[in-house]
Order: sequence, then structure tokens, then C-alpha cells
Amino acid sequence: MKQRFAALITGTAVSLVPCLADAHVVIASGYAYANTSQEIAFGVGHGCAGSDTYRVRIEIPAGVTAVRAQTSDFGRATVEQDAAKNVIAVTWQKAEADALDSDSNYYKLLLRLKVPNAPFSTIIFPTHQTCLAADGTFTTVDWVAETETDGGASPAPKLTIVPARRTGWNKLAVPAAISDLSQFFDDAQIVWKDNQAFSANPATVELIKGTSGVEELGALAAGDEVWVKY
Amino acid sequence: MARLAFLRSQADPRPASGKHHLCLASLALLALAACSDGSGSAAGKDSGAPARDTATEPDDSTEDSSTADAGAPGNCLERPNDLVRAPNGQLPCELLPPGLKR
Repeated sequence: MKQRFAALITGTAVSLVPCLADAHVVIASGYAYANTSQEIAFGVGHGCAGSDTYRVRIEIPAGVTAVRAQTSDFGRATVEQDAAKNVIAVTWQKAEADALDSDSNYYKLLLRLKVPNAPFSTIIFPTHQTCLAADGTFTTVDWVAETETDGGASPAPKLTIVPARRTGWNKLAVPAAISDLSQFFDDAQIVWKDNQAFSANPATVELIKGTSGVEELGALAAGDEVWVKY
Repeated sequence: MARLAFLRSQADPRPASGKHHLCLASLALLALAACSDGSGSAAGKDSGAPARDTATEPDDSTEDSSTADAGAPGNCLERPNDLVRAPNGQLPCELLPPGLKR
């Protein structure tokens, strides 16, 4: 009997792991523009193993300023500040009576903030998601890891910062090496360095391959200048 | 007959009436005249493409991007009267960066 119970617990735990791993809290507003005040949306795609999200606390990383929270489905947000009055965390929490009986809803949480002047970089917002089950049990998932790791901590929402740009051609300088161009240029029509070109669009990649004198661009080094068309 | 019906629907959207027979006969004559025309006009050949109005569109046959200097990204000319076209296998001018020289 003990063995059966242990197997049941193990099976339940194993089945919950992918559930939790899939329940990312993510940045749902796309790229952020360096040194610009803008809305950043956090998407809460799932609760915790079938129970509804009851509270979300988002830590504000250093360098992010002018933070203002928007009232959400959870109600008003509360902010935590340091001695210098910088916002260091924002929490949204429902009334317990408003918690749903099951994990059925998607939530979007909005912050307006000023993004650091650090183009071609990423910053994470460590996030703590607390769920309330129908039987009154609280569960908290910490989304705090830099990257997704097997069996490790859950990945935090990651904000990708790109330079402010205009529709059309933009000449941009790359401050640090970029090995995966799609990380920062996924929404560009095409990126050029000398006679090398990159595009995340497979159709445009075919055109690059078919144009004589043009080579595919795979990576950029620190200090490179590129022409980018958006 | 299908072409005749098409011409009929294009020429007269009104419901059928007594005058319709006369109109239909005229259209049939026009259609027959077009069919017997050996010049290969748009009405005589069903190419599936709309007929071009050469009186209002510039003749760009000498600058067709599908035939002009294959693989020459630096040779993009200003052709404001050209229609936007599907890619011909090479990068179109609008995706070439400012100042690119071969």
C-alpha cells in the first residue's frame, strides 16, 4: 500500500513538472526601446497546476526607472520602494473571494516604465506567482532564473532591449557581440553589414542566397555598424 | 458561351427586359468580331490576366526586373512608375541598403 501511495505521489509530481514549466510569466509586449518610457505587459498564461493565480509580485531590476503600475483584473497594485523612492517591486493581489475555482483565465499586468539605455541587451524581472486552489491551498512559483534550465529554477520574464528606430532604414552600432541575430532583429525586414545580409524571414533569406555578391550574415562583433530596415 | 455570359453580365447589370434581346445580340456580334480578330487581343485570348491599358501605363518592357542584369544589387534605378512585383529570386531594390556597391 505504501508503495502504491509513493508511486501515486511520484507520478503526480512528475506530471506537474511540465505543467509548471509551461506556465511561464512572460513579457507580452515585445521588444523594448532603449532609454524610452513605455508600457510593458506581463502575460500570465497559466495558474499553478490547475489553480487560479491569486497574486503576482514582480521585482524591478536596477536601471529601470519611472515605474508606474496599472490597475488590473487583480485590482490595484501596491508598490515597494527603496530609501531613494525607487520602485523595487510591484504586487497585484486579488481578494480571496475573487479567486476562480480553476485555472481558466489569462491575465495581463501592465507597467509603464523607463527602459535603461542599453540597446542590444536583455534584463529579467524576477516574478513570484501565487495561486489559490479551491480547497484554500496556496502555491507559489518563483520565476527567477536567467534562462530556462532542466530541473532548475523557472525562467523569469525577459525584456529584450533594442535601439529606438524609425520605419525604413536605420544605421545602428552594435556595442557587444551578437551571436544570435534573431534575438534582436526578429522584426527587421533585413540587416546589412557590408555585403552580408540577415533576415528572420525565410522568404527573404532565399532572396539573399539568390543574389550574387551577397552573403548571409550570421553574427556581429562588438563595434560593428549595420544598416537595418524596419 | 461562358465568355458570352461574362460579357453580358459586365455590360448590363440590369434585370432582363424586352430590350435585353437586342443588347444581347449586339454583344454577341462584338464577341464574335473579337474572336475572329487574329491580332491576339485580350478579348480573344483568355490568358487569365487583366488586359493592360497601354494608353495610361508606361511601357517598362526595357526595364523588366526579371530580365535586367541578373545579380546586380548596385544597379537599382529609380522607377517610380513601376508596379510592385513579387520577388524574382533576388533581393528587390527596396531591401538593398543605402550606398551598396558591387
